[in-house]
Amino acid sequence: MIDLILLGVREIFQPYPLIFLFLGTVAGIVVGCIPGFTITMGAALALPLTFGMTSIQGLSAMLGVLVGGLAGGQISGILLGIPGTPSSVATVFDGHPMAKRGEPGTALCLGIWASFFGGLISAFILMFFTPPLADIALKFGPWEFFSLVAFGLTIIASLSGKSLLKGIIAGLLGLIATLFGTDPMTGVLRFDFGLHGLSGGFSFLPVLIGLFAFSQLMSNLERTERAGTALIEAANLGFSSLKTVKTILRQPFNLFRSSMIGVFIGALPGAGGSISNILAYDQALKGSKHPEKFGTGIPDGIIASEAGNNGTGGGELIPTMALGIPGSAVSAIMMGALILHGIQPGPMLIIEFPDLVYGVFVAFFLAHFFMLGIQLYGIRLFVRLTRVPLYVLVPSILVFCSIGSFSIHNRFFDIWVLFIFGLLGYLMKKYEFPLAPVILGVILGPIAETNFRRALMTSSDYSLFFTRPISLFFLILCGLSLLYPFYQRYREKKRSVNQATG
Amino acid sequence: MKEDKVIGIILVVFSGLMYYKTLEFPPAMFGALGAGVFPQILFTLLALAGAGLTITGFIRDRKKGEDATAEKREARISPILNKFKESLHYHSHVIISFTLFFCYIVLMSYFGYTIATLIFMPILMWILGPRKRRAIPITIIVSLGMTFVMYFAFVKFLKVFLPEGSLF
Repeated sequence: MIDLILLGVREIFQPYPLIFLFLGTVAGIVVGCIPGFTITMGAALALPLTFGMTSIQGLSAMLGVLVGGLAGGQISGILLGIPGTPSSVATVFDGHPMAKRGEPGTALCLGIWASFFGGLISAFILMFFTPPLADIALKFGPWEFFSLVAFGLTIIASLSGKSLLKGIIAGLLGLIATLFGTDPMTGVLRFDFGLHGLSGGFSFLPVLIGLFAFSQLMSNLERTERAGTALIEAANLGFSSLKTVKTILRQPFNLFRSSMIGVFIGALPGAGGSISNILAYDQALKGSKHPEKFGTGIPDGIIASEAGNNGTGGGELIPTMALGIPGSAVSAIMMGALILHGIQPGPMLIIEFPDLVYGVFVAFFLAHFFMLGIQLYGIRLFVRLTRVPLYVLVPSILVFCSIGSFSIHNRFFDIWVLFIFGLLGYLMKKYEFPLAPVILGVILGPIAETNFRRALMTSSDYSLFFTRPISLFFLILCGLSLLYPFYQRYREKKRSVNQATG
Repeated sequence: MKEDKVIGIILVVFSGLMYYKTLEFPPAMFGALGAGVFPQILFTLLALAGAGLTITGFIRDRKKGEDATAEKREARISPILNKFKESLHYHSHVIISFTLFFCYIVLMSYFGYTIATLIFMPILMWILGPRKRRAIPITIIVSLGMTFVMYFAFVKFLKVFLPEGSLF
């Protein structure tokens, strides 16, 4: 174990990986602190830049975006009451009141340090749980893999968004997007409609940038009056790290519980920081001796939500690295970055590329130190950055999106793909379809299809999916995750009936 | 939502058409599954889900019978045309941006990256911006700056090509 970690250290502690990790963290904090920009968008925009890098440099940059984004969302949340990303919604509950009370610096500092500790705890869990999980997954045959992917997709559908049906449709659309072009197994052209550009299928990158960056930019333009105005006003900030760290360490249980909630939620495919920070906050409130103080600006709430969302980061990397099943849209993009570099994620990854996998662990760990330093010393700069008006940002990023999409294959057709998926993503968001299942479908589609057909090629017996125990186990989980929303609704109904009668 | 029912029907029709298309694929050989099987499964599932969306839409409407009549009353007060205008205003920047981006791609295919970007950026910035004189220098500087920063980042640093136009 130690020698493997040292292998990772050797990979990361070189000038380029360190520089890209640092720049990625800065970029993550930037997308995190601008309301309306998401971490997924940041990762999607970083992707085209990683082509020119080696795989470990590229992954370092994206890990920086992930960690920086998870921590950066609190800045506008605390100062303005508008969460910078969905992952810092609960931070606003206590962070904003504390800032209004005249302690914005303390609130920010609490958030930064809680993110730091939460992230470190999750980094340790990531390092210890990924290798054994990959060991188990190595015994999987194509049946198990297909069932695992099916489970991954159903849980994504049931956890993201209000409607299970819409989640499923979104996941199916993602799977379907991978069908276009040349069939991976027989070489038959599918659905090319005579278009030369479609013979290679939709490439991953323009689809991703279209869905997560392009459509997000367009949604930001909706309220007409907001486009021309600046987003945030600055505040005067002063804080003492020493005092803050003492405050946090006086609540070890809250810190640990929140981080663990983050890790667990992160490890579930599809559920990310947007769920874990609220859940961690909720548990802190329920476990507190003084629940009535929550919402008035007490440190407990900030610690819980920020430790929770950064804990998610390590959690979502566990299934990504061990199984090749991404824990969220951001880790799906990281898997995409690996695939673009010709590396197939999956349980073999840790055996074939131990330097890479342990490099990721070390980079994730180190990114938290960068995040801490950058935020503690540069917070004023980020607050100022959030004031760049949208009419400057949107056209610039649109140009970047189109060049980024083009650059991967030098194919003009890809810019059209960007446009089409940007439009699709915008419409889906408009009609309340969750987007995360689409991208997981896109990533998992080829894996699902190849394993499904490989399984049936090995033996044409469909019942093997149900008689092989691990495969059956995942299929049962699949069914349970589909039924879970119904159970949840039933319980809510019962509770509201009880309240009405009681 | 009224839209859900329509989206459901669109999905069913789309799945039907795509399923029909899969029938053209060559059949399986040597016991392997043909290229059409997996798509057929997915389109069947999508059609089912789409039908489900439409049906649940109708069921929800029936449950909310009273709400629906209230909605109708409201609709009479504010005619559809007004609602359309309101929505058009709310989405105006989105529609303009999508249209301009479409034009940008077409321009790029003829004139290449540099010229297309130098036309697209200032126009979009001007439309989205405050449209005041003080925005002019920012618009010009950002447009020029962005065009050349992107050029250097991609061509010089990442060593990739930029789209070239068919005319130049």
